[in-house]
Amino acid sequence: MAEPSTWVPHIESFVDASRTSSQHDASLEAIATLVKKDIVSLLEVVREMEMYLTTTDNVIRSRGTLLLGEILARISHKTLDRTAIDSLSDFFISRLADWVALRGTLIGCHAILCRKKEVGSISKSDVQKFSKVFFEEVDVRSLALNDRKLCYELIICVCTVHKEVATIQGEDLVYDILRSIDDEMDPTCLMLAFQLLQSAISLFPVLSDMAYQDAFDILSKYFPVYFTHGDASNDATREELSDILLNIFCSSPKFEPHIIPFLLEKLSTSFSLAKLDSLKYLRKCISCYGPDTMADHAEDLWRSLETVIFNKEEDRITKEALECFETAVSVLITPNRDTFFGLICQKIDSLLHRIAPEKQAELHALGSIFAIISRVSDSLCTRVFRKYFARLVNSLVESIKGSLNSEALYLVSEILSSCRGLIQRSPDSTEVISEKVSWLNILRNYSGDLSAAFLKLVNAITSLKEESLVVKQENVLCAVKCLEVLATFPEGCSPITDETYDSILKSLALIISEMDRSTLLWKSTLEGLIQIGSVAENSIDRRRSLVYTALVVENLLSAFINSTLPLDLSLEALYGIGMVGKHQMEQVLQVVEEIIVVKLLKVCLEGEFVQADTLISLLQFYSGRIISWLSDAGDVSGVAMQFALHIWNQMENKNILKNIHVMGILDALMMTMKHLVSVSTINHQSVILQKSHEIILKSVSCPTEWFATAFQNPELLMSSPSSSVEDLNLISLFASVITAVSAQTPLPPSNPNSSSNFVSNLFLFFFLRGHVPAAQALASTINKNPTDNKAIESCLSILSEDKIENKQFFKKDIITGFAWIGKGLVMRGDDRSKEIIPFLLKLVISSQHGLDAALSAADGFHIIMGDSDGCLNKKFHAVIKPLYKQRLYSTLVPVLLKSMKEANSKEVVCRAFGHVISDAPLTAVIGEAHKILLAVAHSIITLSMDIQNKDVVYSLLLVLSGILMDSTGKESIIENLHIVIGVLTQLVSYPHLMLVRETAIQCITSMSTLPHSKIYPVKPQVLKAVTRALDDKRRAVRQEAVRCRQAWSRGKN
Amino acid sequence: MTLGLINANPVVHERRERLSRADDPPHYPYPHPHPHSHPDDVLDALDVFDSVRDIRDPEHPYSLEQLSVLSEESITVDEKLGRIQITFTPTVQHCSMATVIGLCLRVKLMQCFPPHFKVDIKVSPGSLANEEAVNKQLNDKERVAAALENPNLRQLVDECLYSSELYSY
Repeated sequence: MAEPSTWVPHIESFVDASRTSSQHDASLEAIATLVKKDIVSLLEVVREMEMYLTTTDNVIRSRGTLLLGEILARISHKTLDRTAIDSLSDFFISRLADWVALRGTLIGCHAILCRKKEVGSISKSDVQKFSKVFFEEVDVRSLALNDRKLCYELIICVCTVHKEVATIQGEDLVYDILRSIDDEMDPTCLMLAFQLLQSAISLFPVLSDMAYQDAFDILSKYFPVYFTHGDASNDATREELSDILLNIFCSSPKFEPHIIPFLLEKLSTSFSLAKLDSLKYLRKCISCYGPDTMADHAEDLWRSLETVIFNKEEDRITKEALECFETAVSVLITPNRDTFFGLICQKIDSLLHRIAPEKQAELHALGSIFAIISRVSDSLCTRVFRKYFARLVNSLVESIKGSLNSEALYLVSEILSSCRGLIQRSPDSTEVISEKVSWLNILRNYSGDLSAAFLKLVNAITSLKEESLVVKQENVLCAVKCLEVLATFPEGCSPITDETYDSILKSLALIISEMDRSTLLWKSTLEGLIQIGSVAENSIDRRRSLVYTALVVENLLSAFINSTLPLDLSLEALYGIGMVGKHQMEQVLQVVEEIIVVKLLKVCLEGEFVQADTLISLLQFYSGRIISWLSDAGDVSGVAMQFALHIWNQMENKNILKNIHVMGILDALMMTMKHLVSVSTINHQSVILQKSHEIILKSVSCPTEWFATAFQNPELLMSSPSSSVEDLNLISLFASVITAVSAQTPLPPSNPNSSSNFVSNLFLFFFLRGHVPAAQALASTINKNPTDNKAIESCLSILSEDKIENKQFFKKDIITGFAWIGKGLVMRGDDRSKEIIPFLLKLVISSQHGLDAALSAADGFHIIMGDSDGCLNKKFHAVIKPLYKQRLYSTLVPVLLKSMKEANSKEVVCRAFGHVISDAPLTAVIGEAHKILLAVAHSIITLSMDIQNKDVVYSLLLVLSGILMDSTGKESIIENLHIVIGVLTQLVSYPHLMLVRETAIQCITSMSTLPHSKIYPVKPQVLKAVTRALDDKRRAVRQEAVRCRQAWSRGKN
Repeated sequence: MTLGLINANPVVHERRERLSRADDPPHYPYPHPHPHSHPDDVLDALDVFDSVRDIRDPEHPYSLEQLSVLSEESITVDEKLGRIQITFTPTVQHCSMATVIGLCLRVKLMQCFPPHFKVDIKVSPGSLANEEAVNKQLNDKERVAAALENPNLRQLVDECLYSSELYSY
């Protein structure tokens, strides 16, 4: 045990009100730790404190009590014996009357009441005594906020931890609680008060009616929960409070006589929050109270809901009202209670007589009501069918002959989609439904007439004879929707005959192939057909699937072949139909492949260059959509290989090869080839590789021996005659195969004796002659085959001293090629990249080989740091080391920063810096914001002189805005505020790119939220610049400027 | 003394659907393919209308558009001469709020358009008892400046311009 002299000063320090709060905290923690570790016993502490606990000095007594209470709260896990507990609880209970020291008492009581049994808890008789004294002595409503909070927590503890004691007190407890929480206004306290009441009410299975009445009187004042002072700073949100209030009301059906009339009354106010909450509460109460309790309110409920649903309200209110209505329908209508249904029918009857086209809102409300009743249950659906369906169908069918009854059409469509939903939802087999439910039988009886009517409407829009009836597009849309519904009933309970099914497919397919504009009708018809197709595909009965293929898929394919439709629509339709199933997509694939080959021949052999655009779209569609869909759906390798081989077969024809590069066809073809190879398996890749390799050997016109020695003798390389177009085209296509193969696929040797270096040598040769695709392929090989040292060494040997002097190597394409090779090495984390990066850096910084070379080298950094779609990415199986960009970023930035001042051409260095910064991951850049911010600003200013740099300026601006959005970045911005604002205000009138102006203004707008003391000096400058932007040529910029000006001129407070 | 509202029960009209401009060029992703292919966006009546339609009426929580005080047709813009002319129709003949509405319009236009535009604000002919006096007051630079110096008036104008308490349905 420690000497009293060591710890008593802590007590004195805590009790002394003149000390600071941190000193108080420290001494409290010190004593609590001593007690916890048994160095000082609690008894000793109490004995020492006796004077402080009993003195007549109010301040000291309250501090003393607080200390004891706080110590107790901190030792809740320490075992205390019975005597200690009893005397402590006696002490605190007796102190409840001492209002001056109440805070400490409340904390102490809370600590004792919450103690677990294992560590010694308060006795039952004491709990009872506590609760009696508490309600007698403490007037909760007159206390301060924190004390009220403590009080609520205390009683919650009594009601949850000491249930048996609380229950003994009976209804009095509820009344005491109600008295305490009456008029509580603080959201956080209110949350606790609601929790308290909820747990108190749940203690008793039933209370007297009077108690519910009183509880309701107090609680109803809070409905709807609404804060006048914003809810951002509160712990309890409006929704949480509203939910817990709702839970209290739902906890007992005894609230029903009070709450339901109250909610219905609130529903008729004009305050939208009250309406919304009333509907939400009603919905929950209906489902909690059940049909028996709610029966008496059926009529009032319907009248109120009717008013909301049929009057024009905010969308969210209407939506909530319909949800409430759905709950009411499913709960209130039971076999022996029919009032609610009767009331609905009355309304429907009265409306059906006088529904007119100009009353659209009423019609939609009626439609929603029909939809809801028919989807709730089979029996209700049957009643709707018996009562109204026949009538609606008859008037629809009648009107088809003359002027269309579009209202009937709309209502029928709503009912139909609801009942289909009903049948799709029911899990059990269909025979049971058809026996039990007669709505399906009624539908079957009418389906003939009905589908004939719909078909007539749909056909009217495609038929050339304009005689029949004039139809509006929205009616046809509705008819298409209905036909889709009829054709997508699950098999076995389809309401239509096979013949009708066939004619529906025919008519819908006709709309797709005849209408040559992308309208809403066209799109929804396509959607409908896709739906029908998926249902047919998933059913066991193959008939419908076969019919679908014959009538829809083949029809659309022939429309595509005969190009009766515009190409984009045709492709959209084919893709949609193909998505129905793998089989369908393969059908589409086959036809598209055929057409691609036909068009290729037409363009390259017959010179029909007008077809080139079509061919390119087809290739993009084929590789971008069909192949990706199929590869997601499963194995596509075989198909892809076949087509790749097919393309290579065409390349044996010299005439095709000669023309293939015109109008961008080769690029599209290369991309397609890459996709085909990348989705193939390793075996299939080898086959493609073999085939292409053979063709290369056979067709390339320059002697193959050159390849092996080319790099050693630059003179020979340069002096030899330039390659033919055919060679270059062939190499490009071969390069795309190599680019996309996976790392495991073996590369072909030229003949069994030689090594595998043929491929590398070939590409090296063409790379050094400035052919970029060859460089990409070489980079790809280097990236994937680390063991192929020879290729890398050959490349790097060119950079060695003696050869590098050759002027021929400083052409744009060759520098770009080196950048690609550098990328391949950097991505796999190969150290040899250290030879290429300095080469590029030197070009950038010294500009000794001319500005063009320097610029190409600067752009090389964009290649190395950026992501490419066409080469060295994950899809084309590149080897990628994590965080390679960050590594490179941190080596490059210091060098570039240093050379920015001393370089010959600052613009080029800034350009390289811009690429490095904007391609690096933003988090890495933000982390070093303080180091690079000035350089970014400087680069933007330097680069903004020349229109050529506008893209780099834009990417740098995006980086700047990224820094601005980050909290640490903001600090650097504030430090350099004048410079950043200077740059941004200059960019506000940047003439070359609208996006730059717009983004600059957005950045300035967001800077208006920085601390006012920092930004006020620049305000005149900003306002001046932004006012100029009010006169900008582009509307988007003007609008941003208005917003920015408003933000800055109102940001005084 | 509490004064009653000048028009206690105004007719509320539906708000028109916001037109998205069909000719608005989409935001091209980087890099910009055709930097010089767009014609300039000329300032037109819809621009002006868009900036003033949501100003709140000084008396009611409805926008000027909802109360039909303004419409796109009541605005004319001549970009070459740098003129904007707005004609508005107060809800009742003896509306004393007309000057406040006019003042709101002027302040809003000052904020949204470059200073070289000359703005004329008028009440539509025959819609107001003291039409001429109001027109004169609204287009007198010094009177406008003086009105904006008045803190009460300034507060009222700011409330109308920045209030978001509109009944919407």
